[in-house]
Amino acid sequence: MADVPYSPLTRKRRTFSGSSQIWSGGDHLLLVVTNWWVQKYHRFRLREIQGITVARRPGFLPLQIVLLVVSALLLAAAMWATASTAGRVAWGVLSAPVIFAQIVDITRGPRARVILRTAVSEVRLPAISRLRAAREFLRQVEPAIRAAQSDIAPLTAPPAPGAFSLPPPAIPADRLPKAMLYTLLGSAFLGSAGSLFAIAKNLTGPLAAELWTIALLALASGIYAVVTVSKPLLRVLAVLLVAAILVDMGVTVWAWAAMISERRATLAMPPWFVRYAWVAHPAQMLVAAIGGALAWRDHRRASDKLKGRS
Amino acid sequence: MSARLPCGNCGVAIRPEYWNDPEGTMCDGCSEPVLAVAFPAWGHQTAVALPEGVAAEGESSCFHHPASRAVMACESCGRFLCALCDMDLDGRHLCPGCLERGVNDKAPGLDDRRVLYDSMALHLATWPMLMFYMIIFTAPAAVYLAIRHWNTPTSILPRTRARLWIALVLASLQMLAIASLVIFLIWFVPTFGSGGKK
Repeated sequence: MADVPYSPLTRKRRTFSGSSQIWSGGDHLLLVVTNWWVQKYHRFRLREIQGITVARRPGFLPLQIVLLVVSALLLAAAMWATASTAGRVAWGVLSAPVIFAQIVDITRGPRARVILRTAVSEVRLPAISRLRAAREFLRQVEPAIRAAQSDIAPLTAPPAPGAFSLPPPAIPADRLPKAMLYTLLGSAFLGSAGSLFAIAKNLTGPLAAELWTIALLALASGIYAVVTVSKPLLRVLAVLLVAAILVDMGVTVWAWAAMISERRATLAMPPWFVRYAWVAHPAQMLVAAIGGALAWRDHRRASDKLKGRS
Repeated sequence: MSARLPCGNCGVAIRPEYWNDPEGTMCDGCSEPVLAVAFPAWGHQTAVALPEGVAAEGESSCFHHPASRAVMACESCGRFLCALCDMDLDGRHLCPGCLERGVNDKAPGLDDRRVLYDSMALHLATWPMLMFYMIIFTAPAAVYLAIRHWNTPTSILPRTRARLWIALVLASLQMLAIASLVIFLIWFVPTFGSGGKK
């Protein structure tokens, strides 16, 4: 394999710590994983590849679109309410990356996970993370693999009994999907931006400064709990939490809109809401903390199971 | 390893009746769409040849297994090998010892990792510019890495020496800037000091 003329099969997928890419080397595929300054190589001879599976990852498109719309509305309101040009530029610089990242994430299509199987290994191909890229990859490599295996007679015997029984999942189902992680990070950012906005406008309402940070983080935790928690009681609790936070956010947005449209300097919350919030917010934070602790416990258990299995 | 094609999300095996179906199916485990492609090699195990015993006196035997008939000579060290010791690597026949030595010595086609000194030098020459005082230490280090590893084999993929050149130029400029700053301080600071006394 010396001096193999490699040609790229996929685009380079960059992560925080490096990148990964798949190259074609004539009679083999080369998976290159770069981690900081070390490049690792995995070679798969075309004759030895037994199968490839592509699985679409769970998506949260409706939630992403809602967040995108909320982000855009918040940005528009902030830009409109800020008098100075510098302030508007600051808002744009702060918000544009989040909005742009969400738009790019949505337009790139659903995520996917690709597994390549040989006689002795099952390897995930980290270089392919989108369904569109996975289909393109298959379109390119499938003819080459079939041509390389043209002299191998396919097995006609049915699979051995038990070969297709359902084994324990290799990957815990309750692990946080990446799309959700992005949404959580976006929520946290927007929460911080909202509180910054409140501080910048010198709003002295009872909850103005911290409301968005707490509400959005708690909302994200609540949605995570609704998605992942399987126990009915906890799920009901999480749904109540999400509903309570949505009430908070709805009332606050209404109050902000009223303040901006009437050109007032202070945020006027309905009195009932102030009383409600003093009770509801600690409860929301408590429930979110319990949800987080339970999620962490489940994650640890799943990790221990995987370690025990390997 | 059981013969199965697993879903990438949950690890549950995809039913064989849906293999090679261009439309795919829904996974039994996670209910997400999955696509499985099985190739003719599916289910074939790697053939393991068993050594044969030495049939007649005077027949060559394996270096590692004297009781087994030699079928091949190692292309690296020339030792006779039986079917068990013959390691077929992309058409080359090697003994286990030479194969291991090749992996350790990073022979072409056998290396499984490489250190990218050019990227390391470039990062040392660029990132610390954000905190300029760090370049006192990192610029010489970048120059050292670029010169020391100028001829070290880098990635097995197509790659030019552009990173090394850029690192060398940037780090040299940084060192020049440090030297200029030091000269400036030595030349002007006493002057300012004496000027104040006068």
